[in-house]
Amino acid sequence: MPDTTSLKSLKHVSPGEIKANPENPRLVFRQEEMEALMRSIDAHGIQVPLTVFRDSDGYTLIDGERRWRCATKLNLRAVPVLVREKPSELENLVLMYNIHALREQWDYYTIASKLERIIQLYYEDNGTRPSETTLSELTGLSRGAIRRCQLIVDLPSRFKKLLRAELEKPKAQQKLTEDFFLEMEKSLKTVTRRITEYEPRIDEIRDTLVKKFQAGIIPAVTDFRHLSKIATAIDGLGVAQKTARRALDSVFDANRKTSIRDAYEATVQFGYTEQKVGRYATSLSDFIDSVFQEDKREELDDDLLNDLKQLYQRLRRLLEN
Amino acid sequence: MASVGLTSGTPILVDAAKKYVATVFQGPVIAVNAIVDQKLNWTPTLHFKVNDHLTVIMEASDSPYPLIFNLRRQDILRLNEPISVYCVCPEESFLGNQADVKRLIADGYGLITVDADGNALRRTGCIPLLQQITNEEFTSEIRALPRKLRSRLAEAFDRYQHNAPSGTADVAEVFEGLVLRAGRDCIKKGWIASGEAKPGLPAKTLVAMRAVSNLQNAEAAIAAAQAFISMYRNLSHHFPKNKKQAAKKYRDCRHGFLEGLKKIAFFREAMRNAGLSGNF
Repeated sequence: MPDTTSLKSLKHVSPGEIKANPENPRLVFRQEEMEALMRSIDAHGIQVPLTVFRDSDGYTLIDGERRWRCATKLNLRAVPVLVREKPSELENLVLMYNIHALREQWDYYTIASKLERIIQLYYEDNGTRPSETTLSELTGLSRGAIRRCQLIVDLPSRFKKLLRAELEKPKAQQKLTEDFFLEMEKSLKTVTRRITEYEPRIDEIRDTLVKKFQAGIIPAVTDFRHLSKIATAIDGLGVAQKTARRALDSVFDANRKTSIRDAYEATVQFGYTEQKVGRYATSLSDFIDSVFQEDKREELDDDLLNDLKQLYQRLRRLLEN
Repeated sequence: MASVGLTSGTPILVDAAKKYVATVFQGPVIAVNAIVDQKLNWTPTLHFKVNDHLTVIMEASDSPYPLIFNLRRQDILRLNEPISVYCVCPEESFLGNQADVKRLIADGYGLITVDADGNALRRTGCIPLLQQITNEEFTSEIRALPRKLRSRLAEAFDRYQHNAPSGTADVAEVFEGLVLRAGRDCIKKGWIASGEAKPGLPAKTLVAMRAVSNLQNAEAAIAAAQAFISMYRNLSHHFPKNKKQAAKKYRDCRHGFLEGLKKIAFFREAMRNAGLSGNF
């Protein structure tokens, strides 16, 4: 672990003498947050010094890229910096995670992009790959965050490039977000675990889903949860595998305009609704039992009694048919 | 050292803006993330000089009205130099933030949008901030004038918003028209000789009018017209020789345009009071 006691003196240097750290996992700087910080710096100056290390041609940032960008935009003559020893590459990366990631939510791509490097450097230093727990301790990230990063790390490189290119666009022009990839990957994992025949076609399926999303056939990233539900319906609802496969095939077919919602509604939606209503029925029965057991019939609200009477009429009609 | 811009979306917008500037402004030297002036506490995304005295600043932004425009407007004006300021934003932001776009234009900034393929398009041009006259200022100056005159001055204002010296010279032209009408009326009344009110000779007409005893009460208005026309008639033809002259010319444009509106109203009123009926 880096030695945090190696901080040196406080200095004031020109933002022009400082350069960004190429290892900074943070890649995305959004306008709203930057402008909020810029307004604060313009009004009150930089209250917390940046952390840098001395390099051959000036200083390199360890902490404070957002403040440095704002200072440059505001043409500040000098910014306060704490100069520390030049860290090793692993120390540098780990330091950045601990300084930044605990402070605010980063994009997963941002974290994932350098997590691979940390794993590699840790392996070189220790001869073993870090476990999820070790990674969590090293970086200060939760294990859930590390798992989500892993989904992005495991994407084929062309999809990672696609995501990186999207993140580098102005926010208004970003179409494919990391949420899209996270939701898609989670659902595809669920699908391929249950129907292994899709495994060899996984890349082609990803391409189709990306295209369908870009064309608006899949309108929301949350639709991928329905894809998972089609697959889990085989075990959960007892839907025949061939029925689920037929539905998924049409979603995974680039030549058909079937959306995830269409496939979900046509196959398993009713089953899930039935399951939900079953839970309500059980809950209602339990409630009625408790009313009798606790002798609270007189305390029931009139509106509730009316609703129950109407329900009773409907149940009779349903059950008598 | 050049920085990397405020947001991560900046480089795409900068590339598109640079291509646009290279084509439209015929390849000037573009400074990216560089200081314009030590007195200006703002490092714009890019800036370049159109000629020796006119600077154009462009700020890449995810939204059509970047905060820095609010923070540094006064700094730009205090520099007392002709500087036009554009925002470069994604087309999607332009389409989705029309209220901000209207505010941007009303405040005298230009706008360039960049589509998903990286093509830049100028949505609205702008003149240096130093010259900006707001719609409200203009409207309040012409409110008392007759419709026909208002409409002609609105044309001059439209021209001013794209080319301030030309718009100011246009106001001088409107003034000349009024002088000609006044002169022709004076001829009808036998106050001045027939050759003294001809198109293109307002100075001669005004000199003749000053000698008319019936126009004694309008002397101040006639003198004001003489001064205005002599100062602003050929404004757009005089190319400034240096930065200082340029700043003066651009400042004078704003002053001249507004002064023209005031003096036109003053002259018209004085002529009506003197009993001239030449369609004032």
